[in-house]
Amino acid sequence: MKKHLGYYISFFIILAGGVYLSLQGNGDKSLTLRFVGLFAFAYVVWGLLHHLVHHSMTVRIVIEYIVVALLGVAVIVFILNGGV
Amino acid sequence: MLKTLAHFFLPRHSNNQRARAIHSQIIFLVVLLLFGSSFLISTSKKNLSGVLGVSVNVSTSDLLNLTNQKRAEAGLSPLQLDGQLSQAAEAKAQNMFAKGYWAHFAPDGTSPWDFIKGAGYPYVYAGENLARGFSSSGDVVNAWMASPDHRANMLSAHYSDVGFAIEQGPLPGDASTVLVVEMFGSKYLAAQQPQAPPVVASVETGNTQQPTPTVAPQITNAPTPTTVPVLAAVKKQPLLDSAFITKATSLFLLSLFLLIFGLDVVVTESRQTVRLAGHSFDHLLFLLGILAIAISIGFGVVG
Repeated sequence: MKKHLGYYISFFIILAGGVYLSLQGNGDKSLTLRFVGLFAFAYVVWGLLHHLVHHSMTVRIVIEYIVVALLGVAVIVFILNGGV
Repeated sequence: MLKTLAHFFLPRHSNNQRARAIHSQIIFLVVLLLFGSSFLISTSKKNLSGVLGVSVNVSTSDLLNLTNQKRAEAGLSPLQLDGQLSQAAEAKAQNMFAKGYWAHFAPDGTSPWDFIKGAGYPYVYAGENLARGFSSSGDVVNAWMASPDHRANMLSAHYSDVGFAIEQGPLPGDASTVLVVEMFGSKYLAAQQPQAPPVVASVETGNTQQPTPTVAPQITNAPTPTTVPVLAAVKKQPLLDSAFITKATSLFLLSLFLLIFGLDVVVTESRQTVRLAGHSFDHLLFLLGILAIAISIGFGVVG
């Protein structure tokens, strides 16, 4: 875990920034969605860099990070579509 | 049965040391289902609004009662519903829909008091509160009371009248939203006071300037034409509340994935499993962030 500490600190910055910005778009659905999209994109880039540096990147892992990021976006789209 | 459940939710030999539910194919299937359902809900909200839609209950009478209730709690006199201020609020709402903005000042510089003057309300003090995306009158008033500037307008002793507009329409970033405009004002008494030029009234802040009497007052005794206030309301009670359904489903799905990723982290760490896959701990943290957004996401905003 120690060797990943730097990565997780950077991830917590992405996480806190992503959540904070997404909530700033409150009331404006397209703005909220853009921030969530940005958060998901940053997550994929961060995850892949993490694997790239540790020489463990494969196509399956790339797909996995993209799919999990898409899941996050899809959930928020689903909620926004159901709202007022 | 237990084997099937374990295969689906726990890392084991049969699923290549990763719960089947968090294999990319399954997650992708869930993503497709969510996007498909989002499309269906959008279509249903437009075409079958009686069956599937958002429960909305915002009305002038409730807004007025709740506003006056807050004023009474603060020891202030109640506001009277004024037809001209309601007309001004209605004109402002239509202007925002027509010009596609969400602000106190229109892109062309038109101010809230232009609408108030346009409706024939001779104000000394005036103010405006805006809200969009709320589904009940109580939520609107609570949100205004939680914002210091809007609260100052609601609890200003300068105002004696109020007018509301409640409309549904498109605003930037949202194809259809419930918009509430609340206009406050107090009239100058033409028969008792010299006519003063319009003052710079407050927008949100309630900071008003004292009217400056003109050197040569023109006193008019003509009665101000009265306008009967329209009791506006947007009320919808569809069979199924889409806001509740989508939020509850999303929270359930996220919790389920968080549980499975959490179990995956615990089991693989305890077994010291070596596998070539993405880090479940990363996914767990990312989905926790999404859960925080999903929980906190609200639809209403004040302006």
